[in-house]
Amino acid sequence: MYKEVINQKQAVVLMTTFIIGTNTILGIGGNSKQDIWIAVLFAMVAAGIIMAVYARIIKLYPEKDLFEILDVLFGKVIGRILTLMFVFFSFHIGACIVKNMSEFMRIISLDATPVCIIALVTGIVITYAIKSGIESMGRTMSIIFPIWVTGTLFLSLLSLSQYDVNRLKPVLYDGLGPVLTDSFSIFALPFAETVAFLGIAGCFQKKSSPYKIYFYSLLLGGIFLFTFVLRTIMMLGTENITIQMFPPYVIARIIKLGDFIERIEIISAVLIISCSFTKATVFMFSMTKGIAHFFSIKDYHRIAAPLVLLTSIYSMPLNISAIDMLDWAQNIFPIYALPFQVVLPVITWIAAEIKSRKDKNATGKQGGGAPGNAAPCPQNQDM
Amino acid sequence: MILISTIIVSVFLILIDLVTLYKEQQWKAFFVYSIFLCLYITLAFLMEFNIDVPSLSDISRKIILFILGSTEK
Repeated sequence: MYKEVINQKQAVVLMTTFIIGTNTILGIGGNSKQDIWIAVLFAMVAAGIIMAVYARIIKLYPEKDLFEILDVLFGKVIGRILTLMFVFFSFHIGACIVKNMSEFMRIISLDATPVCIIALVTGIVITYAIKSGIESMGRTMSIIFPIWVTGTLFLSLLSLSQYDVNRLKPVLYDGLGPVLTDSFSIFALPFAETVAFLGIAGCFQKKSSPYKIYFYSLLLGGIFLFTFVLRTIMMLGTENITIQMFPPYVIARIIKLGDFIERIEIISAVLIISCSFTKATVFMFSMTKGIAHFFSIKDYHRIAAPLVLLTSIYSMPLNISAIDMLDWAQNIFPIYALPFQVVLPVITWIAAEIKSRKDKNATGKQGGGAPGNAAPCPQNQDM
Repeated sequence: MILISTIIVSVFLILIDLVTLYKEQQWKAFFVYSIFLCLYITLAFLMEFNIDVPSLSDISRKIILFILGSTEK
């Protein structure tokens, strides 16, 4: 079967847009108010550690995705159970992202359209993306990304006159507590969500470095989120942020330059939807690959359509309202996601280190050379 | 609305994907595809007739609040 491969640049672009993703809809934090930018920096440091773990897993098993690695490390039975757990997580978060997107589209413009139609159309687009393959997705985002960066810079520059630096003061007025709480939220959503890339890590080019992919994306995505929260606070102020449902969208709405450049929120809406679309697609790629692996189906594209549409339609009963959706994302998600984002990858990493060392020792005793990064796993070959 | 749109989409999926899988005799993919398609249609039926579908977000919220011992919501 034809093997899909994305190069390092495409992987970085995908991961960066993934990190930015739905945070442009949901906004970030709320407890630390004007100190949220400090929370972003703390979260980036914490995310660096867990991303090193993700990258190490990929480095130990290049050209393999998480589901194959789980089978190799824990055997078929436990491996498949863990695969199902990860598929469940991808399914749930995929549905949440579709919900975020469809609620966002409904509230900002399509208020007379039933949510089911928006969710269904979103599902059809994601199905098409998955059927086209991760390569097409990587190439598409490589084209969109420069436009996206230009659009963001354009919006930031246009709003320059509306910045008020005094809105960032006083710094740490409420102490470090709220900042750390928000750091934890930002760590879980969006940085540690990059665990979804372990599901499609088999598509990374062999010569590309997973460390570079993760850390460049962390840096780019982090810088964007940092500037984005600074911009939002300086333009809206903390009081206004708390009463707005989609602060990032609102700031584009109030940009005004003279009498001729105004109401340019459509640019912001397109940027927001393109990032969220990448995120939803990556989660559903991961889910589809997981299901295909579970049932030992070689071509995952073939079963993508019903899975994605099921996820899309399931997004509807997920939250009763947009307020409920935002509350779940900010207060429940960080704790809910912890086993999937931290516990499961750390266990996998420890098992991978032990197994690769054992294999190295065994190869050394037999008189063979060191196997390097590729951990020798005989049972991998039949996957 | 949801049921009509689901049926239209499902008919397309059957014609485009499922028939191809049947012709190519990829039975495993065919059955997995059929199961998820049935789930998709069933979910649409339930929602069309306003039957409550358990929400994973609500379940996870209850579990986490129970673990944390929180009384909110």
